[in-house]
Amino acid sequence: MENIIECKNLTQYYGKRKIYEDLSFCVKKGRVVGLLGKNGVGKSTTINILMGFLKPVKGKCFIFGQDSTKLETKLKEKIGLLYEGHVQYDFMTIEELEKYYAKHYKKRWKKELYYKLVDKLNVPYSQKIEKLSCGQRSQVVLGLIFAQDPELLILDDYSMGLDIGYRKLFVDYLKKYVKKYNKTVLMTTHIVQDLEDMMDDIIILDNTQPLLTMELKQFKENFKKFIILACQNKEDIKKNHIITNIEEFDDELYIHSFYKKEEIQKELKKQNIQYEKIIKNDISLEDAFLGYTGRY
Amino acid sequence: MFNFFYKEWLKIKTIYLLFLAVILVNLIQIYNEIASSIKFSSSFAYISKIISYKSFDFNILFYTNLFMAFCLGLFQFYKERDKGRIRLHMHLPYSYLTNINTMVFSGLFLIFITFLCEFVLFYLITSSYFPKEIIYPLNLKLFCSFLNAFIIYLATPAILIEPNKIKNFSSILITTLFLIISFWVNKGFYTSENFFIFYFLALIFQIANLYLSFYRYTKGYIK
Repeated sequence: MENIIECKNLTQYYGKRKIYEDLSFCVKKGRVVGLLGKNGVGKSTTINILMGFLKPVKGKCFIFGQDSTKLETKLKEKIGLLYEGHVQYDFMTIEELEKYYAKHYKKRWKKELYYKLVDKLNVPYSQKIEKLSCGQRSQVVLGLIFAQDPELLILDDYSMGLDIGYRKLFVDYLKKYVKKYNKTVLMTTHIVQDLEDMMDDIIILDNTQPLLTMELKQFKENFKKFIILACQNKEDIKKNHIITNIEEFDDELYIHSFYKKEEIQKELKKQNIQYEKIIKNDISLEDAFLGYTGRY
Repeated sequence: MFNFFYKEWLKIKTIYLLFLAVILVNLIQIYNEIASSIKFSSSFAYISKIISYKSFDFNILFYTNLFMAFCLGLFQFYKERDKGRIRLHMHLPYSYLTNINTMVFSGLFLIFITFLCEFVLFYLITSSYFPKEIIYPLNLKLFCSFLNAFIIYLATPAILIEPNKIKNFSSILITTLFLIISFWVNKGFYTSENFFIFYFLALIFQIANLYLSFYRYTKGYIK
C-alpha cells in the first residue's frame, strides 16, 4: 500500500528542550491513523512539521512523496487541515468564509458539503464565526474541510473545547465521510475512546516509552494489564521489553505488557519478585493507552 | 487577488476608517489654519513668515501617517500570529512566497491608496494659497512621512512574526534608530538629499528582515 505520509528520523528541540528524537512513522493510503500522546509530547509539533510550518532540527517528512518543507501548490489542495482549537478566520461570517475558500480551491470545492453541515446548526449565514460556540465552530471547520475534498485529512486535536455531544457529532460525520470517500486521515487527540471504532492504526508518542506504531486491533488484543497481589519487593521490578509499564495506585500494583501471563510470571521470577497472585484484567482502550504512557 | 485583499480588509477596516477620519480632520484643520492666518494678517505676510522662519507645522498629520502604518500592521498581523492563524493563510494552495506577498501587499496597497488621496488633498490645500517655493518642500516633507510609514508598516509584521527574541530586539532597535535619524536629518524646512540614500538602505533592510522573519517563523515555536 502506498505511503501517503512518511516521517524519517525526526528530531525536534525548542531551545534546549528536547521534544523527541529519531521519530519515524508512516501513514498508508486509506488508513485512519491516530497520533496519540499526552500533552506536550509533540503531537502538534509533528503536524506543524508535516505541513512545513516548522523545520525539524533533524530528519524529513514526505507527504505524497514530496518533502513537506517544499510542498507544491497542487499538493496543498489535496490536504485538509484542522488546527488545534478549530482555528479559523473568526472575523468572517459563515457565508464569507465559504466564498473565501471557494475562490482558492475552485474546481475541488464542494459547496454543498459545507452547507449540509452548517444548515444543521440553525444559525444564519450572516453569523460571524466569533459569535458561534466552540461546538458550532467545529462543525463549520469540518464543513470547510469536507468542501475542500481533500485526499488526506490532518486533524490536530479535534476534541479541544468540545463537549461530548459535539465531539460525538464531529466523529460521526467524520467517520461517515472518511468511509464514503475512502480518505486517509492522520489525527491527534488525547480522548482516545471516541475514536475506538474509527481508527485503523495508532501511533503513541511518549517521553518515557519508545514510539509505538501498531494496528489498533492488534494493540487492543495484545496489550494487557495484570494486577499483582501482595507483592513484597515491588521496588525491584524493572521495566524491560516484557514489562512495558509498572503502575502503583492506592497500594495496588499493576503491570502492563504485550506478553502473556505465563511470560510475565517467568520474568517476575527471573527478577526475584515475591508476590501472591497475578490476575489478568480486561481494560478499555483508554486504560490501555494510559497503561502504555503512564498517568503522569 | 481581490479575495486576499478582502480578507485583510475585514481585519483592519475599523481601525483604517478611524485613521481615515483622523487624517481628514487633520487636513481640514490645516486648511482652516492657513485660511484663518491669511484672513488674520495677509497672504503676503503669512507666506513671508513661513519663508523667513522656515517653518510650517503639520506634525500631527506627519505622525498620524506613521501611527496608522503601525496600527494597520498590528491589526493585520498580531492576531494572526497570536492565534496561529498565519498557518491557515500559508496552507492556501499557492507558494509560500505568494502567500506572504498577498498579506503584505494588501496592507501596503491600502496605505498607498490612502497616502495618494492624502497627498492630492494636501496639494490642493497648499497650492491654493502658497507659491511653488513653499509647496515643493511641504509636499516633499509629506512624501517623506509616507516613506517612513512604509518602513514602519514593514517592520511591524517582521517584529510580530519573528520567533527569535534577540533578532526581534535588534529589529526594534534598528527601526527606532532609523526613525530617529530620519527625523534628525529632516528636522529643517527642507528635506535632506541624504535622506533618500539612507531611506533606500533602510527599505532594503526592512524587506529582507520581513521575509527572513517569515522564514525563521518556521524554525520557532508555533502556537
